[in-house]
Amino acid sequence: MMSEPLYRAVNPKTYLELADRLSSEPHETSKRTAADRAYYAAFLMSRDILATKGYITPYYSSEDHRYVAVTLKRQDILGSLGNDEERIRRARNLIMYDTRDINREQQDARSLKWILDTTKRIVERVENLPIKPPMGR
Amino acid sequence: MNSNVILKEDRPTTSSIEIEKERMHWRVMPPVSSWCSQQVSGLTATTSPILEPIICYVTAPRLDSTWFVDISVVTPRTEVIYRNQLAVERFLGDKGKRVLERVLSLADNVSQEQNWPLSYIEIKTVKDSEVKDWQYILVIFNFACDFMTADGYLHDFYRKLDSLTNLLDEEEEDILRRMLFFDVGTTI
Repeated sequence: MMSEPLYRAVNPKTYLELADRLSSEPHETSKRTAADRAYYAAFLMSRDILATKGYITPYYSSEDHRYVAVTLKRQDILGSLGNDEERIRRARNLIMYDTRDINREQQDARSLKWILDTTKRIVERVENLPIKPPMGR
Repeated sequence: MNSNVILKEDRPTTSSIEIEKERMHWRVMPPVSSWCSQQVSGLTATTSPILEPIICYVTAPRLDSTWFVDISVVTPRTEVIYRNQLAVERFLGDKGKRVLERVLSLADNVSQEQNWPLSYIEIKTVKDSEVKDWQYILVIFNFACDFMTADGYLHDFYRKLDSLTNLLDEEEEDILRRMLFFDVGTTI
């Protein structure tokens, strides 16, 4: 008999809702955590939706970062717009690893608004993708 | 080049003649050893011009066959700055370098056609520390405008890049997806 799970399944869409809530808080920690959750919403929602619709088979590990970034750029998925998911990732990496002041002039420094807007645009496009027909049809 | 096509199509049929079909100047290609080296953010950077012949059709009123005008115009092209060009080329390989050249040529053409305030293009390798063996080439378009305007230019470029992708073979398309990523920077 399976034991009670330590962590129950999560819908990564709730990360985006959390990021939205945190973005309106004044604390620096909230803003940075919002940026982190926004990236994970873009990444995990893309991964899970692409898997559900038959485009990919995830590893469910950190390998999926590369897998999703490259897959989103496929012409039958987002095309070049998929490049924006990796832009969010680099912005998130800067925000999470560099605890010093981050200035607008720094490469990869992006406003939280841009990160949230870009995340929503990617998620919306991925949600609107058709279910991939099975091979051989 | 696209500009040639436009000029050809615009050429009147009765009141003008093509007085010169001039292959305009190639950008002078200095020997590799003399390419300008400079310091960018503490790293050695090498600049190189994008080499592409500029062909221009010139029309003028049909007046006199001796009335030929010698026009020599060198169009300024986008400066490309590599951060460790050797590492970039080694990573891309021969076919990857050709894909990058096509992308840079496309960017240069779009920039000229749409009057982008593009200051320079920076190219470097990026390693993602969180994912094992994940490395790619980052092409950064540095604009003399605010970030949101620059972001809009990048999204315009995405559409052109998708058109280019349709012309690539399978291996080239794979290189574009896996090895090349794009971003913008601002210089003001």
